[in-house]
Amino acid sequence: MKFPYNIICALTGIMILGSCTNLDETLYDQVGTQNYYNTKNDVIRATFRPFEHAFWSIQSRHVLNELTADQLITPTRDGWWDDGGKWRRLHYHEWNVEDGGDAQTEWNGCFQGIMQCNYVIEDLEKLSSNQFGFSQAEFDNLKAQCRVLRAWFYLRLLDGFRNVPLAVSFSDVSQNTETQVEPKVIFELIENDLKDCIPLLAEKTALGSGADLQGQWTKAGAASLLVRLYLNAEVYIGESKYNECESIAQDIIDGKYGKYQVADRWDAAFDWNNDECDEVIFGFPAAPGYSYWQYQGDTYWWTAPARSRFYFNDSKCKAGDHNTKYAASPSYAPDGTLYTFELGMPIQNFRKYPGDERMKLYRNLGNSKREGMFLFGYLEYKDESGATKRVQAPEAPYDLYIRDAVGKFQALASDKWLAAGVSTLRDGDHNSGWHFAKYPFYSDNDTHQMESDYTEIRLPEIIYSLAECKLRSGKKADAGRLLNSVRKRNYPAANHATVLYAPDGAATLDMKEMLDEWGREFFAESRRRIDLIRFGKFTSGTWWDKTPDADDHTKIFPIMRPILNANPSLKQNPGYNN
Amino acid sequence: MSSYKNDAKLIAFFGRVSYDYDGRYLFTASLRHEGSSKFGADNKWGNFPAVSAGWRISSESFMKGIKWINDLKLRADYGVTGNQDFGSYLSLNTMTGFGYYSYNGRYFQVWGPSKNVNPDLRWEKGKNFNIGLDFSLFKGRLYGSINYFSRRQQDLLGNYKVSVPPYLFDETFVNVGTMKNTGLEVDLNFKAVNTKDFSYDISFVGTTMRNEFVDFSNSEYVGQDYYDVCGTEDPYPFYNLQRIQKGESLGNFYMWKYAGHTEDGEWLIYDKDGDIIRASQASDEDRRIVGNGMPKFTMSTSHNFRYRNFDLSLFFRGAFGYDIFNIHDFYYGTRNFTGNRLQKAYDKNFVVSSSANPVVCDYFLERGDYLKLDMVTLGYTFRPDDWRFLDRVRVYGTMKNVFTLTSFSGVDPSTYQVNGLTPGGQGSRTYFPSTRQFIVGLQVDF
Repeated sequence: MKFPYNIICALTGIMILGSCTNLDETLYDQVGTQNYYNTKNDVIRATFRPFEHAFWSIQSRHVLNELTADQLITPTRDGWWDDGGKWRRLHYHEWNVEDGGDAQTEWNGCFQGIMQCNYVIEDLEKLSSNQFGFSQAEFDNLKAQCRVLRAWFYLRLLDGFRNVPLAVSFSDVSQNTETQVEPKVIFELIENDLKDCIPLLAEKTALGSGADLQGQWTKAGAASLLVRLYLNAEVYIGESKYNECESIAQDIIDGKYGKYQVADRWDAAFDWNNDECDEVIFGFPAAPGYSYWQYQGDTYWWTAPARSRFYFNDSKCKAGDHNTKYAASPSYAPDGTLYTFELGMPIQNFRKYPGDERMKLYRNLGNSKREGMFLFGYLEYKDESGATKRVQAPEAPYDLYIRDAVGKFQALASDKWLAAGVSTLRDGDHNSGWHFAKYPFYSDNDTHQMESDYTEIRLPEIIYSLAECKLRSGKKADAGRLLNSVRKRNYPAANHATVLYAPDGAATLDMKEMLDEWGREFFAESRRRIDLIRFGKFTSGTWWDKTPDADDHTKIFPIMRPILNANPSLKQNPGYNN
Repeated sequence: MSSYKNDAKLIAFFGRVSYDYDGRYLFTASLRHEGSSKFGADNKWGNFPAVSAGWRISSESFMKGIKWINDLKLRADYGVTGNQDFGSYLSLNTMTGFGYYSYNGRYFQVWGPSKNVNPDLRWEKGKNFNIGLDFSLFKGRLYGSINYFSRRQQDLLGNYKVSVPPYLFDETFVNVGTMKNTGLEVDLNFKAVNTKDFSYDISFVGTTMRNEFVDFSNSEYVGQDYYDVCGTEDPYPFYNLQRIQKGESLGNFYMWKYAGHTEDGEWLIYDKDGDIIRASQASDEDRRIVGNGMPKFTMSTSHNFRYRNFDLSLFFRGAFGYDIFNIHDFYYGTRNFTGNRLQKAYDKNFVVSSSANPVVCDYFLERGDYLKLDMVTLGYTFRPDDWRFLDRVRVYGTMKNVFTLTSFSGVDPSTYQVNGLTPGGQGSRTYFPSTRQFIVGLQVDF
């Protein structure tokens, strides 16, 4: 009987041979975590991984804070941009738990950033500075910058979702919570981290010296986050902190955290050399060969007609074709009647003060110069034969005549209007709504095409925050003067007497005007939603194709289904389906 | 530009015993001990046994008298197989390069953890059970087999959604999930006619298939019980056609249920309570299972004729009992699309307003059943006795993709794949037309 013998043979063979085989993996294009840190550069590369991620993560924030608010719209355009109602639901505040989309990306993006920061902070705690040729101060600065970046992520979560879990460690999860904590706990974490870190951060000590500090959290950058936190404290935790906001904003303006000044033209903070602009307090460094998340579809690249490459002459650009995702909410009905909405109508708000530089048609002037912020009317360009052409719609070949109205105008003559007295997001064509160029779209011949950095915080935000605090405490003249210190650059000196707020000029400032002015200066800068909330308008206000919400639960976003599914300890935000 | 370098090692030991008693009782057992470098430190090795047994009934003495049975064998086998078909280094803590960031005015490529590490990564195992009958009857004129199979894939390897925090990424590559396939295979061959001048042979292969995604969770990872898959693209993106769900078959079309159109051409659908609402008011919660894209039955059959020096062969194949989402009708078939439109936009789909975007609902779902004459070959063979250097010359003509019988109104239904994770589902409108080929050939034997 051979049968058992065979089996024994086979099994013995397996055991003998099995014990002398090695299946450890040899790493080639990755590095084992345990032997990653060898040089100073390794430390720098690891420290700034969360920063690189943070720059990427601005996209979902832009969508959520602008398309839910009153200034920007994504209407359908000749059948495009319906996208299953995704953009419409943001506009109508009808987003639901199954939507996923940008609210899911925002949650995951911020928490990924937070966990990356925790990971780096804990790694750096284990290393010693002199081992890699850092001074102690340099090393402490890197750790502090990661904590400030973590606070920046938490501030976004507090703003978007309010009720979030606490995660302050990667290696020791017992310090974290699986369930959500009170908003106040997150508020205090942000506040304490920022206050603790400010002394450890670098300071921009002279005007014109910002370029090397670009992308780094400085004293002024961290202090600016405190301004953001305090300005909205009433929304976030139900306690007003306008006094705290006022005092820290004043200190920043007084130069206590470094040297900054408002630029003499509105577009300097967005131009190719904005890393040298003294108005910029924090920006994410961008360049065509590296990252440029502000020049993407979800941010500022799709704010222009689909064929505007002919107008900008930028068809060879790395960012690809432009597209029409974002346009300004209309001021006019399709029949040419001016709307009377309390909110929205951003273009009409710009028109209120004549001579605004930003209201000029955007044009490339050559040599890395531009004028104007908006794209409207006919966009004319010279073709190869020198003939004048107009930018057309992508399929149906009609010349675009971009209007401050939404409707199916198509090839309608520029002096004609439609019969319809109202329109909705579903009624658009490629003419509908003024487009814009916040960051320049320089031509392929321009040596500085796409070189702008992404400006996250600029001095006017601090000045406007201070002005709002002053206005809230009844100091209208102080508020007016502060706003004028920024606004005056937008208008010719001859108009100052009429366009500046009293006492510098004749214009009147009140809370409604303050909100409108936030909308002008920070048009499409990813913050309109919270401004509307702070002014009590987000859920109760009326603007184009938007009636008030039934209640206030839409002030924060739901936690999307896949996130709830992945962590059953999370509780859905009030008012949303579990 | 990018580059990569990695390695992986696979080691296997194999042992087998066979036992055969008098040609009547057959038994084989084998064991494969296999190790892969890709798995976690404690899970690199897996054991994959297999046993099979056969009983040649026709060799039994009590069968001796039955002349019309030439061969009859009952067999059964059970085996475990392993899968390690995925990237290297997934069970190790590693750092990898990401994008660029500037520090002190200089750009650096940043480095960070490359993934959520899973040190417990282990072999995905397939447990296969077959029972079958092989037969040869009437002096070999009819032969073939009938086979029942049951395949259970467990510890399926895949990216699984996890919570951030505590993880760094919202997906971890884990062993989670179990899927089951069962079915019946029939293989028949019949020499219908075989005379000097004329012969006719038929063969037929048919398979029934049932699938169930048994579970997405295991003891360590408990999470959601479904994934929406098969997304659409511009200009109508953000829809998913199918849902893979616990306890359900792959290929389920999960979408709104069509309820007609309004007079002004807007889409109507049923909401979750069964009320008719406009699609523009509908939410994801109103979706339901409206069909399935996995054929219940697939078959192929060939027919070979020979008459003197002529030969003719026909090859048919078909799939039955499944649905297809007519993706080209969805994209091109309504007046809403601004590029090339199908004729349908002006007849069947004319009720859809030109301002109404097509919505993903079962309006576009059709039966995919088809029977295709895939190939016809007609040949003539010359066998001249007096040619000195040639034995045989055959001229033939072949036509491929001759015709398709189907009620599907879109493109050739056989261009929709019915394997993989999204059978019958295709979110992209990209289309590679199926071609009809004509081949004329000359075959010369020396």
